[in-house]
Amino acid sequence: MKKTLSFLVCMGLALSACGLKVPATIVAGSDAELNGITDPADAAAIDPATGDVLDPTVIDPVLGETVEGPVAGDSIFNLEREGVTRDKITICAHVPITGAAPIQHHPNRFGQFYFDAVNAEQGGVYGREVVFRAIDDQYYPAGARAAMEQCAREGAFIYFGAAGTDQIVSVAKWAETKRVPYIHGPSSDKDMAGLHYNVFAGPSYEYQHKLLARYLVKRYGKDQVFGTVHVASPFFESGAKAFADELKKLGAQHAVTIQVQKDESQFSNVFFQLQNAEVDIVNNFTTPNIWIKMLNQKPPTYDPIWTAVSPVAGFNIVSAALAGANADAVVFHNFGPACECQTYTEAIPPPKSLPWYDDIQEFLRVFKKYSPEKDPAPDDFDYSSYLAAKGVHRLLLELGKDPTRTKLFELFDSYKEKPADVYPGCAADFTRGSSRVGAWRVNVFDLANGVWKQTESCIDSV
Amino acid sequence: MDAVFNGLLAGIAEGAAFGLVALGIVLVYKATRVLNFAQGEIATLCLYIAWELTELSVPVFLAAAVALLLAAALGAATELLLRPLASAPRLTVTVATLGIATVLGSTQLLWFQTNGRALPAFLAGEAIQIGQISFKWTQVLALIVSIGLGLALFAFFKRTLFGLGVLAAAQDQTALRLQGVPFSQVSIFTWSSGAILTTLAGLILIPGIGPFFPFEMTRAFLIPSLAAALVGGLTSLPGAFVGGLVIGIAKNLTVFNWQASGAEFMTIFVVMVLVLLFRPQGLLGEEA
Repeated sequence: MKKTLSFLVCMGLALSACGLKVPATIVAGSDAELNGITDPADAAAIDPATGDVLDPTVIDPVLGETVEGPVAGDSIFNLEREGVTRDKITICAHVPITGAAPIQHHPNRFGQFYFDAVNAEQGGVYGREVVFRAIDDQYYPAGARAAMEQCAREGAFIYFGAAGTDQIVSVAKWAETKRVPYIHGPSSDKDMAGLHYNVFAGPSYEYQHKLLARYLVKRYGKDQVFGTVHVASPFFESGAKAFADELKKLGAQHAVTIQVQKDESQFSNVFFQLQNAEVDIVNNFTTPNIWIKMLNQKPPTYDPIWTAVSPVAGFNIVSAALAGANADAVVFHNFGPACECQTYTEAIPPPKSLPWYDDIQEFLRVFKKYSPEKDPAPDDFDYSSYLAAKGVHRLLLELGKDPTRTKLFELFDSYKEKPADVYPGCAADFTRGSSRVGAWRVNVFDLANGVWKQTESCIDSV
Repeated sequence: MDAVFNGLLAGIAEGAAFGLVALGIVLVYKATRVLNFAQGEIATLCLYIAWELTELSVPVFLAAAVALLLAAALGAATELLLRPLASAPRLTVTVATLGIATVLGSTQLLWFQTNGRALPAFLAGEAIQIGQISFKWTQVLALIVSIGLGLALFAFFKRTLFGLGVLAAAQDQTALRLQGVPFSQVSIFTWSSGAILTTLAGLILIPGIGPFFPFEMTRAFLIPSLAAALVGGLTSLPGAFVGGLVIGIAKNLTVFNWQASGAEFMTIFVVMVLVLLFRPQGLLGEEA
């Protein structure tokens, strides 16, 4: 008994030392209880007139006073305005700065540089400074969840995941338990089925791979032998399967699917299997690092055509490594609706005739002025980050002076009814795909000719 | 049969790489009874320095020489850091080397960020193609160097007084001191040599694999090389090479013949357990 008491006392002291508070009165039926908040000071305020619970984070932007917010239970979210104050609104993201597929950028290059421009030149959004915090997830699911927990501790309105298939699925499930909105990069329909708190404003892996298969068969014919190399993870399987299934449906041969570990450094067995199966076109559904290592170890007697969907190919390091190799169609998307393939590729400067030429010039201006590094060289991912941040900016503008999470999801749901003009002259199309995995128009990059084409016209014109 | 033959060939090539890294592990263990986890990150840091030098147009051989000297210095620094733990249990020292590895890896992240670097090879290109497996010069060099170094170190420990002193230090430091052999010199030599061997392995092998990143040597080689050292015998230098071959062949026969993801790790583990069950000292190790 004494030992138990001593243990409890020690635990209490330890918790206090960690800044956590010993449970006191919990306001019943409130966001506090749902959130596991145990300090009365953190609990929601009570309207003295009605006895209703008020969302504690609702501050009228004009009056600066607490105003009535939706009562817990009306909303699917824990809190409607977490991360929103009179002066600031916070978006928090997990990004792979280190790990098996690192994006070699300063954290502010993942979106904050764009919002630095918005804050400095436009006074933020409805007078609120926008903070876009990026935390390294080490390209590792547990790392992504730890990053999101950090975001939760600091308070964020929207949780954001840039890239990393396994990480995105893991965090989407985390968001489900925490009841927070999570907007993220590429994922599959299958792995997101049944989840309600995540949104991917882009085509699923299954859809991207179907389009890739159609494009390749149209371009190269059914007589080519196809093969796929993908990361040994269940979250890559559905995309790889969709590719193989679509090829089969089109009468083409998909001979082999090979799985590789994320940290693999030797690929002689991969090339052995590809050569044995006489694969002409290899779909590389892995990571940039793996692809580069494979290219380095490719036997000189084997020269397949390489192809990929966006997550792998949207990196300058891959483009550079592919230079001189046979490479073709990269089905690409962006967080925002890239209806005409709004991609800046350093290796291929955009001609003035491109519809989005002006947008790229604006990106370059913003990046050079607000990038955290001196004399930075922008790359593909910087432009992707710029477009993603621009999309978030547009969303925040549409949400108005009193942004809530419910309104955010209602906005996404409205895009399912009709394409929305989130970008000037470019419609977002949510009419395809499953509940929370949308499908913007997909774009194909004809690497051989250095030309981006919108999917339908690209496949039709081949 | 094709898959078996090609798996064997690929296994020999990869096994030589594991053996070369395992040599460094065995050398330090043989002399100190400590598994030095810091060697991998000393090597990676030295690879970064070598890369920086090549970017300044320093010839790759000279850059490699500087990297090896730096490895020696870092190995010596590790020894000095760990010297207060000379009388501590060996497990404590092993854990301390893990800490040093983490610090070195974090230093790489701090100084070089996550940018991948591609180091030029001593000898680039394909050396020979046998069957469907093409061997790069880096792999052939790894094979030659690991055999040569293994034999040379074996002779060093058996035939030279200093080498005997290194072995004696592992067994009884006091007796060594009483014989007038400066223990500190022996100890510094051991840790520096381990670091040099692992860095040499990195300089030979990494250019053939592709760009390297922070923690690369640990990520790419630590587990299989540790397994190689255990299988060959932690006290046997030729055993490190033999262990490397065994692990390399086992791994590649698995990946060439069995498409289940992660099966190769299971194979490495099973091989390790089987060897240790029937021969706890390893294939060529000495009985305690």
